[in-house]
Amino acid sequence: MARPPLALALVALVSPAALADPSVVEPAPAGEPAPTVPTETTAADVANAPDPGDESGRTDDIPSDDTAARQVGRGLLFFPKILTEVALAPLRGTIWAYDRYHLDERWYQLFFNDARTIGLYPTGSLESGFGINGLTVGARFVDRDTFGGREHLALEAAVGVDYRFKQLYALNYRTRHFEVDAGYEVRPRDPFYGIGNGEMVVTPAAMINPLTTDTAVQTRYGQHRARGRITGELRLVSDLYLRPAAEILDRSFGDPASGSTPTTDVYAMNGLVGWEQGVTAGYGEIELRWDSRRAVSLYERGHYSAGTLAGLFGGYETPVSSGAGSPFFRYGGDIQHFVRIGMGPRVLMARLHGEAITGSIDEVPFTELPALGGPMYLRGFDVDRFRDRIAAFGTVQYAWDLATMLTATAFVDVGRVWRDYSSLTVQDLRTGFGGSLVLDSDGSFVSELSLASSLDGGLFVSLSFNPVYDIDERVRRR
Amino acid sequence: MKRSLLIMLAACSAAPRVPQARFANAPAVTVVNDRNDVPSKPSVRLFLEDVYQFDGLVTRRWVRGMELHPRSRALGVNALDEVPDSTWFTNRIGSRDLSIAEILKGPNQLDSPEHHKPWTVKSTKMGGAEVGFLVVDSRGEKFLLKFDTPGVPEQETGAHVITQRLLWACGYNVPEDYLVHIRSDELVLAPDAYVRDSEADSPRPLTRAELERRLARIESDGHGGFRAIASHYLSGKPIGGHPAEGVREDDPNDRIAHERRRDLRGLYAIAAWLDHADIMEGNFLDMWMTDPADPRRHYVKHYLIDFGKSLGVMATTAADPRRGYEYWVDWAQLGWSLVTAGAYERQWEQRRAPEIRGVGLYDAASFEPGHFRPTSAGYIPFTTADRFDAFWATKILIRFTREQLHAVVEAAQYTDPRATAYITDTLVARQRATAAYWFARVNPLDRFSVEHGTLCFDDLALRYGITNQPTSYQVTSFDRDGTQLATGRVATGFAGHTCTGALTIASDRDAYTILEVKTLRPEVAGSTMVHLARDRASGELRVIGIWRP
Repeated sequence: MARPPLALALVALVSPAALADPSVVEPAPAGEPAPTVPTETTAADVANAPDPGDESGRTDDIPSDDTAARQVGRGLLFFPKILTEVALAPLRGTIWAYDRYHLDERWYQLFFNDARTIGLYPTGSLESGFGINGLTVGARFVDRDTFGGREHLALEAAVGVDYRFKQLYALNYRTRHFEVDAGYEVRPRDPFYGIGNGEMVVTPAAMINPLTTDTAVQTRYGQHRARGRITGELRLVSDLYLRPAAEILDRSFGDPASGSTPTTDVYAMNGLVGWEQGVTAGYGEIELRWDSRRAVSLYERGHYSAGTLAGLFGGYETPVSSGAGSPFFRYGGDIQHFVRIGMGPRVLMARLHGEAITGSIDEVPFTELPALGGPMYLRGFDVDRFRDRIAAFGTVQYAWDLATMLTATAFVDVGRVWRDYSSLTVQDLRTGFGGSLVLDSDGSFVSELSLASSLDGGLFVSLSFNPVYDIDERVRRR
Repeated sequence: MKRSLLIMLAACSAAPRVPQARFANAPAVTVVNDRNDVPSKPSVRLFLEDVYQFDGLVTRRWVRGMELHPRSRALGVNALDEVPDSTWFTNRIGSRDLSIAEILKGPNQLDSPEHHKPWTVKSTKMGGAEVGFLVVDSRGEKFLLKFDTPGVPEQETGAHVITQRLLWACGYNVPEDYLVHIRSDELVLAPDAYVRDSEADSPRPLTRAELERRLARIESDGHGGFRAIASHYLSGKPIGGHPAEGVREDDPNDRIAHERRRDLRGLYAIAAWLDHADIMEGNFLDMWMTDPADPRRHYVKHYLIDFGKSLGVMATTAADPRRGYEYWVDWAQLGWSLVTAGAYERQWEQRRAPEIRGVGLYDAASFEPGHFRPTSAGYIPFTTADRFDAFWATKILIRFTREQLHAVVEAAQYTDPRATAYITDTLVARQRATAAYWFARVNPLDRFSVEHGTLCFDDLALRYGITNQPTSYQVTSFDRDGTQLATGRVATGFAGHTCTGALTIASDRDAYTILEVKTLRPEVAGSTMVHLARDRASGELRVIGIWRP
């Protein structure tokens, strides 16, 4: 619709912004230069002008800025330069192919529906220190909107060479309020270091009875594990949640994959509940959790930098099959607190975790004992290095940003296990320490590479896809 | 005798006071011919962003470091240390006064498409996660429609309008972009409208439902419509952005390595002023165009595009206050932070901006003009830029008056008037901070001319009120061979404009005289060598060259 010319003139007088109408060449206000109408330069306009590079007007011989020292240095660095390019070529080529052929888009076209809610993608993990044996690969089918309410269904199958999982089959279904998880795993090399807070030895003098002696030797056993679990989350008020959970599990044990010291070569396992006949049990738990952890700033999303998590839980486990031990209670708590000490963020985190069971070690399957060690509980030690009826550890961790997507941490973990409350002592505490690099993307945690050691020695490198401050459900941790 | 010999030897071994540069006795070149015919369309450069970032952060960064390139002065500069007009750059506010009307009009030749509705939607925008459409207005003109990111209304569209106008006024080629408002019922679907979000996609029909679904992702302007930038399609055929190093091998007019171009290196200071952190090859566009006067002739013209992430908007949309202060992965900062465990305050931590609709994380208090970092480390001209390039650009940007900047900001049509006031104030503050920074690093004397046998010039720092310190100038004249002829002092004139006394001129045929003008003010570094010669036609003395050592 054309604007009336009078209105246009009035608007032009009132608002300079209205002068954006290029069809009108306004007279210059007082003091302003007369506007010129720009015209496109043509080749004819510049036909007699010098070429680019000939405009300087210099008549002297323009000296080179290069120096003999640079030329020598360039010669010395020639082969390192070539080697660098060659070394980076595979990675660069992969990135090039990914970009050039839109591999992510093609994957989605092949393996996902148009809405990208249903599809298939590969999975993989690598446990360091075992070479190719530490590799596990598989595939995961997901449906991210199963019934139209953003429910999430995942089915996964993976095979490994010979380390953590030889086979893994899992199903997971979650909604806003509950989660169902089921799986079957063939685990060829689970660690067993005996029961207790004992010192490590390399070669024991004789067979060790883990029920009476806490001597620790690095051994491994094989395990077939099937489990079904349901977890709920109910918000009571504010940041207070009620989290009930229930699980049924079935385990059977045997020799590990070749190349490891079998547990039965070192420990007299036939006295341990469930070792020979396996474990079939049901477990139910209630947790009350206060979780006010949050990112303080929009610019620090994805990073907890303030708040507290405090959880108390109590559960009851009972064997389903006879001869698989006695029922027992499990209870404990977890408390975390984040203190932001600077932008980035730079955060201090402190955590205290404690867990205990009521049954004795000759009544409870050894796999159900509270355990410490590994990337989640007491870093600097192997997974399940320590297990007993009571376990507790504390962590102090400092995290600071290195770049937009990269955070560094430095941590100290201290803890130990005890047989009973009468033996509670702060002597012989185990101390682990180390650092990690945490990668996130658009505020979402992606992975953490940590390097940890302990006062007892050893070096552990782990790549985790769960943040260390996440409280993994006890029913899923092992 | 021995003492005299020693003094003479010392004098001989010392660096010559007059730098080597000499200039032809001719007017400076004001335009270059880079419009020779390029009969075949140059190959299209694909912009692979992940590869580009990887090269900028790793491959090219490390390899280039091992190539030990010397620090070299910029090329593409005439005898007066200015950039001639070309297909890359056209002197505008840097060489003449621009009216507010001109700046607001900018490159826009058409009437706004907002006056020519309905628009016909031809397809979705390809590339990127943001919603966008290719539309044709009722005149048949083709535009790319781009919207604000949800959650930060008016920021991108506002920043785009402002930066587009200012870059054009500075001299860069930019597309014709219009701020528009559109309702969904003013969009009609072409019969063959299609959806294609990436090159890997096969086109599929764009339905009304799909159009509405995409529009639902955009924040409304509060009046039932949407605010957008309508970017007019550039004439010619697109061939991608320019390589950050070297030249386009198949463009014979591209003769200066891009990392040596003054107009590209100088853009650093302007990008810093505008916090235009989204500088990368993908935000430049070369067009193989037909000559307006001769349809048989073709050549490449070079544009900057996509300005929506300037003025602190990159920081808000990426939720990252580091943007503009650190590279996306800044190895130096990363290493230092790792070693020190973050036990120091970073510059960007002081960054603050009021929470006003339309305003990004754009401030002046934390701004350090010499420490600007675009998001990507891959744009080599920004790493090769030196203080002379930044000085050249600063001379341009300081010419914007507050009134001009205010008018440009008003063109962004922010809903909240506080946004206009804040952004104007911040632009002015950053402009002056830029001038204070670079005018302290290069002798800020410019606009040299010979008037009545005296040399006249402007002290830009005084002229623009950056400083008001008492100032005088040491002026020493030399002949062509560097032999000193005379020296003297002159006090600054009114408003920073100074004229020397009568000059002592060389006695050779051209009266080739070199004047060293040194500013006697504590914070100023360096001097300026002004080369004079007599015009052989008129006999008048004129400035034929400027060299800033």
